[in-house]
Amino acid sequence: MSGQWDIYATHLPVLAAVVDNSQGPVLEHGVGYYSTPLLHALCAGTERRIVSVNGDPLWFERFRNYARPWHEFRLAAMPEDAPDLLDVEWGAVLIDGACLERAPWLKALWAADRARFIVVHDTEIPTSYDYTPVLSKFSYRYDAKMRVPWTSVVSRHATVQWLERCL
Amino acid sequence: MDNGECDLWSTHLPVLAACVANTEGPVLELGCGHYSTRLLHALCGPGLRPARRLVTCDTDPSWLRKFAHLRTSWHEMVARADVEPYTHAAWALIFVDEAPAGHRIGVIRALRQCGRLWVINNTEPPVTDGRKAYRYDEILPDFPHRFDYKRYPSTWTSVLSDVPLPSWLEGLV
Repeated sequence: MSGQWDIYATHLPVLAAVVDNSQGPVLEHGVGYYSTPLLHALCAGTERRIVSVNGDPLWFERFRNYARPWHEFRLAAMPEDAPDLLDVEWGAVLIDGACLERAPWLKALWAADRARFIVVHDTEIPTSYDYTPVLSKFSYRYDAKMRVPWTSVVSRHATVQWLERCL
Repeated sequence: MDNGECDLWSTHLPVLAACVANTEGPVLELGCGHYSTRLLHALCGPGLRPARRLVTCDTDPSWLRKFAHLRTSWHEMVARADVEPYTHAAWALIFVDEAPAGHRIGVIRALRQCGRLWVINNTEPPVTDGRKAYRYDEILPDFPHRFDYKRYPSTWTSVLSDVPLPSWLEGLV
């Protein structure tokens, strides 16, 4: 039994479903006490490649013990700090980093057109994080509204409505 | 309630998710919760693959009602203390996190031969005032293979099996 969902954890079922229903490497933008252990655990069994990106070195240090040959940590605030990451064919991406970093990463990933599914946290207020201009460009979008903050999943080429069946 | 990192009720999520994602077949959840029930539903649901059978059992009907909207053809929600009906199935994974605390070893005994992989919450050493009366020491040593997930010192989660556990579990932090 448990109490209530921590507002910082509302994206976990969506994130787990997307990662478990996708293949290929995983990009985590914004490390955190909920997402990083979960993604690490979901990828551990098959040593699926995961790259965790964050712009704050002090915050980053708290998660260094998760580093493995298959779990890489990259200090990069903006996409131009790690341009090679935009060339990777990501199976799943999480956007949940620092406020001012989110839209630039989302825009860069849309432009690169290499990510199959992108999980975006905190989408309940359209104007927050400057999400709206770029989210509206994606062909497919599913909003998980069971808990606030909301979590959205977007894709340029793959339908995401299947999420309704497991959330 | 948190430990400075995350809600203490959520500490089992990483190891539970990893075990579900790396197994196939039906899952039995003994004791529903805001974190585990929704996570298991997400991982067992028919996303881009066929659904896995998921049964959530709880001794408290009021708790189950919180998750009634998750009931589907592949996710059964059952209010009962007696697990005998589930002793006739072969479960790929059984998750134990129910109340009352003293009930747990009874259901583990009853289902002992039915689960291939067990994920059992709150396996940290008992506190001295006896509040955590799980009495796990009476049953868990029967399992030949055990991994303790101790990422959160106050609340351990253990993975147990009669068959050798995958080596990647040791890499979880």
